[in-house]
Amino acid sequence: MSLTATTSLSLAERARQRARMRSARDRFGRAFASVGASVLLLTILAIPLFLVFEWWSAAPLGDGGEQLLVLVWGTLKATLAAVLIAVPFGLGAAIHVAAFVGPRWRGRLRVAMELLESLPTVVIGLVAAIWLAPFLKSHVLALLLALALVSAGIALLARTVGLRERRRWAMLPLLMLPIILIIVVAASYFAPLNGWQPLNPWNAVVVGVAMGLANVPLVFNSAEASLRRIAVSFGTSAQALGAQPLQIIRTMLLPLAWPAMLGSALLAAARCSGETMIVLMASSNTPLLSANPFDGLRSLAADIALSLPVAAPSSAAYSRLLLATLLLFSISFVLDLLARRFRVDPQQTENRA
Amino acid sequence: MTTNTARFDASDIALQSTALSLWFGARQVIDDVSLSIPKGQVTAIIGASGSGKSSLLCCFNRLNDDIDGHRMQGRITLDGIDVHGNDLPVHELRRRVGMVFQRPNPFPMSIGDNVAFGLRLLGIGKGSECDGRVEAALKSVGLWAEVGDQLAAPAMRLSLGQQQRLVLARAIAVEPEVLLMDEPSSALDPLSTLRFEELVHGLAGQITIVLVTHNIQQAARVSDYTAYLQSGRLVEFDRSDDLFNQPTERLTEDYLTGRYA
Amino acid sequence: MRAERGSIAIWFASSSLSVMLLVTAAVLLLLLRNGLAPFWPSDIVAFDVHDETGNTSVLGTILDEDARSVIVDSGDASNGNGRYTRLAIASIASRSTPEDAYVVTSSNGSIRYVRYGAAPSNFDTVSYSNRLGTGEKLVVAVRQFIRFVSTGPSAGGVLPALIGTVTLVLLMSVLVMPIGIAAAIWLSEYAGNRRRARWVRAALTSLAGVPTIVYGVLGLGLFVHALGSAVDQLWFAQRLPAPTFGSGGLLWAALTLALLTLPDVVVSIENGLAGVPRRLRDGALALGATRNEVLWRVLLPAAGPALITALILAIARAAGAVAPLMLVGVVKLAPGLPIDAEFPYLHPSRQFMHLGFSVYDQALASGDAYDGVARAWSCALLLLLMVGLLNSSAILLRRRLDSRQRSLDVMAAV
Repeated sequence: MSLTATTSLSLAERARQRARMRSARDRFGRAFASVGASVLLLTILAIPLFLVFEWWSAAPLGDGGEQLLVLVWGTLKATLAAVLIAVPFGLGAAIHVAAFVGPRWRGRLRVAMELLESLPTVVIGLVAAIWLAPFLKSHVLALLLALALVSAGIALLARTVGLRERRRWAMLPLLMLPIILIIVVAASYFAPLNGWQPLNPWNAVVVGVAMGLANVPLVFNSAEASLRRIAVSFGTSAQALGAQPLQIIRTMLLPLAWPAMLGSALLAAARCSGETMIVLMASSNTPLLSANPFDGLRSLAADIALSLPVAAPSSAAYSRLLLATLLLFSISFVLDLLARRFRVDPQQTENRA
Repeated sequence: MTTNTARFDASDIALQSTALSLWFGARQVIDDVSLSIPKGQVTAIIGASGSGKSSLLCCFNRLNDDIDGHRMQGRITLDGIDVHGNDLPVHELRRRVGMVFQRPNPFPMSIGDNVAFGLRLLGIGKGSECDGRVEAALKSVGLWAEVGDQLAAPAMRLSLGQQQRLVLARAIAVEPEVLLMDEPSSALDPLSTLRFEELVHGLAGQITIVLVTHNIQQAARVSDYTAYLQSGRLVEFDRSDDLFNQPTERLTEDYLTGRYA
Repeated sequence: MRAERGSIAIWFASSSLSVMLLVTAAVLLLLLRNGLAPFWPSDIVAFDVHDETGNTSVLGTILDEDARSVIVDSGDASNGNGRYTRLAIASIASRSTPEDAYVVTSSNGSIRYVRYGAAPSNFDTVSYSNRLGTGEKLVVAVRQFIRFVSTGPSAGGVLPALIGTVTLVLLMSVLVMPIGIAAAIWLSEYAGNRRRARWVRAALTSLAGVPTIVYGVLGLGLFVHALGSAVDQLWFAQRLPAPTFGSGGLLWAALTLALLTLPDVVVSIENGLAGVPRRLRDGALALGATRNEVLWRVLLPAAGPALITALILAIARAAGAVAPLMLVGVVKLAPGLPIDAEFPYLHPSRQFMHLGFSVYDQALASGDAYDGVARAWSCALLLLLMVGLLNSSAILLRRRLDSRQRSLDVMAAV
């Protein structure tokens, strides 16, 4: 025996002595973890419960109901405007990257998207309010012309230039980059176009462009992950059958991926409906019930941020703001819930890939 | 159909399962197994993959407890004490019944810390006692001569064969009565396997060893007793010499001669 | 060559990627240029103006110029008309950049543009901007930048906002990490697949979608109004009715941000724990370790980099969150710092200034529109630097973690 009998006895003895203390510590560790989980659970319960309870016990609403309608309208308008920008650009970029781009460049492009995503919203709001709004006001027509020109140019190129290889497709954005840049810059310097200008530089269009572009990475990330998963699952076999990349995208990728793409759009809507700083800074916060995209708007979130710090507790205004918060919570919660029904968790895909 | 031709006195039995059945969800993996593991001997459990060998092994140290949907019937005793009873906390059970896994799993720490891991749990943190026990454990697996001077080096740098001996030393250091080994040499090259089998041989006598293997030759070379498991049932249990030379069950014979489908 | 059907749509998809790259680059360049511009010494221009009131001369820097007019910053108190002058292009007879013009910046941040004669010596800094070469201008710019980040608002700097932001996110980290670690441990180690675990997971995913301003309302109602007044009643009754904890302050803001970042923290720590190979956990359990011991001795050390990444990302997110702070204690101008040399050093009940809020406040609610906007750009750049530094260190850490993980797996798989 290499291990002597005496030490053997003492080790077992020692284990017995410590057993109770170690079991107690184990139970304590479990309790600690359980407390953490409870805080999480309490937080999600606290938000709606607290709001409902506070609102119930707060002063009567008075005639605040009509104002709330305007705020809800403003929120929906800003959200719609942002989604109209975020979804086409996000999905377009996601389709391109999932279908054509190899792992190395995908990583680099994702860094660019992460860069845009990491910008604090107050910074985006600053750019929107101070730079974008005056620029859009004075260049509306020029930018519309640029949009038309770029679209026509892309359509023309698509008709005349046939790209058959994946590798050529992957390089396409680099080719288009200078073309788009030149057209946009040229159009904005073409002064005679600036005859018509919207009255209010801080309007729904500005909010939509700023908040939409800020949320492109969100759409891109969630759509690209699910698109790639689908592309990987059949891509190789379809290619082995001799299918062209475009055929694969049109006949297999897009029909299979539409729930994921819808989910990404809903996710963007959920996020935009609750976004505060961009709307607060770029919308001029005018409570208008107008469908004109060049009118200002006031959203629920912006109203809360502006009015709550000055509202006395237990006043009618305070009560109205609590109801506004409850509405905002419900809108974004429902949108988020809907989005989750369709969305594929990017993290999961990551682990599987 | 279960036959248990080997009989022991109660005092000679280290581990015993009585009418043991185990389910993972709806799937039954162990079906009414009664098996007595003799003290100080090497007992091999053989069987095709999926026959429940590893699951049976993990019943002995209750490592199945954490698996979702796990359900057990029957009784397991260590030295006559119920392993699910209140007298034996699960961590104490696992100290007394050590385990070596299929793939070497050293912790991402130094060699010395790996061996001392179990000791630290028992309050033997640092100092000469700890050093002495680490040295003894490493010597008993023949690693002291190879890495005794580099205890602070990361364990991940060792070769796979050395890693497997390291985790064996780690298990031995807390002085278990039983060592469960789950196909311990399946990840090793032939030379390391041979080396490992010699170690197992040498440890028998001091420690009861239960060795799960799908390598029939290894079971024949190393073990004193052998149990053959098929589809979760214990088909035959006997002295290895008898079981390998004249199996009493037709199923065992089929498996040993390769006629198992 | 005829294009394939549907290829136009794909061309548009690919082009949208170019647009996004352009947008990202444009925003970053804009922030860089506008954020740094205030530090760069601009030329001092002398205008001779002829209009119906007669001939005047104006000395200052050009802020903005279009086809019809020029807006000139002529410094503080140079005439009775305020700091900014709009000159019609038609009225300008001549303009020049005289070598002998200089700018005087006094210690209280006020600026004067002066020409002729020797500079007074009792002023803080005197700079003959028009004589400077590029290198010298760079030196001046760096000096101005340092001044910007190291002085208070009275001298034109943002130091209190910087300190407020850092203190806030540090306090938030201290609050969020224990809860986050505990919840992640519960989910990955103890929860299994029971009903309560499903509830907690549902809570986790729903919380991530709650608008940040809603957290602000929760913080105001629950922490400031309910908890804060209770604390005041109990321990600070002698100071009532003046609130101590009953109004917005650092502690409540940090708690609010802690709740805000909690879901992200839990998810990334849980992923880190799940990334630790199962065989390490089994190995430790088989040696007789209790679950608690497995956690603290094997899992958490192995998941250490994941914990740090989670923390950094939480800080980055918290540093950029402004909306909830507007409800729980951020102010335009705070009388004292939240952390100073006076006992008890950290003042959790104090109101504080914040870099992100300064961006909003200076841009839209500053008394001096031109100066405010310029400061807002600089604050934005500073905030961006902070967040960018945090994010990139998290990315680097994650990348190193991934490669280490891969090498571990490869070694084990041989």
